[in-house]
Amino acid sequence: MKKTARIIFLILGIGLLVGGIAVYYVWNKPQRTVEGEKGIVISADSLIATYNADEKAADAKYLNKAIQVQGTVAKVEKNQDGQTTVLFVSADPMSSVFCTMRDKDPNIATGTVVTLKGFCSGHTMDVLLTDCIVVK
Amino acid sequence: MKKYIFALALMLAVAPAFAQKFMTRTARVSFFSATPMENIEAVNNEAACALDAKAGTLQFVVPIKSFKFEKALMQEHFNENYMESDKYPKAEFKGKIANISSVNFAKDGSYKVQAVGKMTIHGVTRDVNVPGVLNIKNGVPVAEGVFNVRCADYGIKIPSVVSGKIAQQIKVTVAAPMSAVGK
Repeated sequence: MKKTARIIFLILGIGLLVGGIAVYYVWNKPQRTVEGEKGIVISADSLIATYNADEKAADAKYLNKAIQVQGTVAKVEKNQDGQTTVLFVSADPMSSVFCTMRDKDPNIATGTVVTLKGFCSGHTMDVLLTDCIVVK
Repeated sequence: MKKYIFALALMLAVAPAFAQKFMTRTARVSFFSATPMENIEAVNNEAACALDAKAGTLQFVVPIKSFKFEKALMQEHFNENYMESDKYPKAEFKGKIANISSVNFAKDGSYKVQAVGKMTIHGVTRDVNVPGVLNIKNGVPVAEGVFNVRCADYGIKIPSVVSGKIAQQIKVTVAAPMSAVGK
């Protein structure tokens, strides 16, 4: 009897330990990053046009996905938390692609052609990409 | 007579031309939920804001997916379970500053304002009246406000398993330094 009880307790103990470790890893799972996903390759103008034509359809295609966008840099600024933001040159004067960079000093110059990869957060006044990195 | 015309012409020539429309792409919206178990905080630096100083109209558009949490799991639950951001990717405020005439854009200062309009969160629209401040510096406004949002008001369902963790009232803080449109 004693031996069976001990074995049961041992199994339960291991079960709890494994369970505990699993919960710990899920609880502390790392943030999703663009490097880990294949980006949808598109030009800034194409992305803007798709959103202008039909926002819901564009969201179905791009919202929350990793997008790799190429375009000419119109403006580089910083937001209130010191992150660098990049606005692309757009054929449409009312709307563009607006990217918030992950790194504080990504070294991006106005007027240059760049390829940025980020997650699409949808459209407010521009198409938004967040947590962006520069693709070399 | 000539003197008066000259004086008038001079006044018109130096009259300060002040901008009327203002906007920002980087309004900061953060929220805080205090519960005995755990504090929940998130920051969004990608909210869009537009203000028309003459008409007094004010609009905020907040992309839900741009709220950043320290814990990835919390961010996931927020988007998938509570806000259902695939279905409702934006939160919006559309309204006006009720007392815009009391704000002198030509005079630097801090002006108490009331933003009245429609707030849409999680697909639910409600009439709101929110107190805030317009800080004017060099003719350019910074809109600031702190207000509470009740989850139940917007159909945000907090399952009973975690209701101890998430407060029913969420404190939202908004900061929108703007620039004149065209600059």
